[in-house]
Amino acid sequence: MSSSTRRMRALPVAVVGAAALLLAACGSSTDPAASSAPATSGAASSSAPASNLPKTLVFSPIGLQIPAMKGLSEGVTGYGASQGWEVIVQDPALDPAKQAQQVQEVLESGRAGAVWAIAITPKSMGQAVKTAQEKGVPILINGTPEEWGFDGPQPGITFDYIDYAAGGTAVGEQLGKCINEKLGGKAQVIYGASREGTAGKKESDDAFKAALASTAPGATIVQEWTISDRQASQTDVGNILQGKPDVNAVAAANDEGALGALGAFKAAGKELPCLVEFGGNDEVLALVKAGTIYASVALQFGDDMKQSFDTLVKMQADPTAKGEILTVPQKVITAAG
Amino acid sequence: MSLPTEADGTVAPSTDGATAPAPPAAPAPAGDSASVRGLIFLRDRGIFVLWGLLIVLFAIWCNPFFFQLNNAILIANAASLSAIFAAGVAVGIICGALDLSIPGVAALSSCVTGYMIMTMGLPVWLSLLVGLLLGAFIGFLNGIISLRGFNPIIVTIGMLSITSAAAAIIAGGYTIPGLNVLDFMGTQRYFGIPAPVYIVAGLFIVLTVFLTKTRDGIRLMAVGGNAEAVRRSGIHSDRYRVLAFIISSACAALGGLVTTAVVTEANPSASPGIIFTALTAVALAGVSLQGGRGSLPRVLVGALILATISNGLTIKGVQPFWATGVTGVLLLGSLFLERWISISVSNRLMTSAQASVHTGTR
Repeated sequence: MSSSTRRMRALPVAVVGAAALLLAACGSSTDPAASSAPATSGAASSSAPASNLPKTLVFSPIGLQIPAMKGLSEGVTGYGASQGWEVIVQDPALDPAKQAQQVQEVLESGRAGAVWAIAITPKSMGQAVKTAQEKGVPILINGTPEEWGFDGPQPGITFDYIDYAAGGTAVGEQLGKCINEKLGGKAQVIYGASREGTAGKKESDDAFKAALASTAPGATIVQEWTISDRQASQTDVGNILQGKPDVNAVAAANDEGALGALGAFKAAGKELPCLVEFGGNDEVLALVKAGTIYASVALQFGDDMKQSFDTLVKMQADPTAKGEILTVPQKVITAAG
Repeated sequence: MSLPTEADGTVAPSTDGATAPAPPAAPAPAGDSASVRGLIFLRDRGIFVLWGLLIVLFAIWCNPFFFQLNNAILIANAASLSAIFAAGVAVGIICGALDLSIPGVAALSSCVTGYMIMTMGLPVWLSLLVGLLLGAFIGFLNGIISLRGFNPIIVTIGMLSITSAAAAIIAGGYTIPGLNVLDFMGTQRYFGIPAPVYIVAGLFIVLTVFLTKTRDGIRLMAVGGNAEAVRRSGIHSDRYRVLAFIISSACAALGGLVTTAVVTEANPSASPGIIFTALTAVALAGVSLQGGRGSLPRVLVGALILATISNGLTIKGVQPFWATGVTGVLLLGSLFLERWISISVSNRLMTSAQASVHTGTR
């Protein structure tokens, strides 16, 4: 018998051994709170006093492969630890079904003392939200009550949403201001919009156009492109510049679009006096500071993380009380500060 | 191609009066052979004709912005990235080894190189070399594992997950920005032409010469056509299958590095769009998904067609999702065309052959 055949036969044994070890590890690491949690009905749980809930926050972002989500998860873990909380970070990897299943499981297990879910698609999380309410576990979800099918604040649920309309307005106003300052009020503008189906796209696009029209009436949006990623934006803006070489102002609905546009102008050897964007990652903020980007309407995720966490802690005291409706803070950053 | 010669009735007329019955008066097959030649030309060179038609169409529609040297350079530059990945996919398919780990390999090579430059401060040439060799090594692993009897598609999907995770671990889940030292192979222009265009030209020349002019390259294609026949003829087919995986992954690594150079940022997320764009270019080029048949220059034209459509529609201000739709229509159209041509050629040759047997006209 060849050595390769022996190895092939040994493989299933190794797999079974590894699985057994994994199960043993899971069993030994089970939290006492979870193992002692009774498999109770929702009604029984909801009547439990709030103080019985463990100081464990379950954080379910849309996927850890997204740098912003990774950063947020690390921030939540660090901030939670500083407040004496354990934070369990889940990774649904952009899969809505997986996210709903993970959150449902952790709620059923009794492990969760509070849940913070940034839902990939709100509809798929409906049952998990209902379970959280039944079990008296406070939950914070992204979006507005209307997006989740509610007509206002709900018991045990805090809503946290990005005000895209406010963001779009700020981008339009800043771009208009730049056009008035640097280009005498007249400019050919191109606008990088989010992909179809992206949250807040319509609100953001409409607000941007209205604000630009009122701040700099002499500016014309000559073309739009859809932002998929940085490299594609660079290619698209390069192509646009070929057909519209007089473009001198750009607005982008996110960081990738702005950085791609900047790359395209650089490749074409053209100046870009006015570039304004929505997002505000570290690379963009460095370029704002250097004067390359006129302004960034930066989402203050650090502040949002603290307000969200503190709200969940507050809700744990009375999970049956109606939750708050929060918005992610935004700040206009320019070279001046 | 041997087919046109076989189809050419003037090459081997049946003049053996001793064995063949006296030929009755029959219509000359010249019309048939001309149409077969035309169909074969359409199959082999149709993609060039299609590209030419697209250029003419956009030159008229997007006048005066499209038909300019600067725009040609833009199209070539835009096609470069997808062409590099398409070359890797094509070599794999030609040899009967579809490699789905390409996006992961690209991300991993990109992040390893970025990490070596930005965090470890190692020389650029060394970092690039390690990135490329890492890609080739992953291809080697894919090949070796596949040879154990595992389905290459599953093996490469597994490797896609492993390499994606490894890229995220190395980059800590974040992008690695500020890689301006790679400008020389990204946005830098030489004699007015962007660096990626030179890289693609070099890659396609080397691979085309390898596949068509060297013994190993011809054997590699033969393995894709019929591995068992190759093995029975005494050639070590396994070696060539592994070689195809190595070339495929090395191309993925190169594509990842060029993408990094263009955007000056290493990104750990493996974009599945890479494989679909590459496959579209390969399918447009008429590369047989059964293996053994394909032409790299046509793959390059496939990538150029995709870039031309996107460029023309963008210049005209048409919404970008139309470009995606048009590409899909072209792809399906090319599949139907190829099928129709193959059946038509086959039917006509059969008719000619039967005419030859029964009437002795050929």
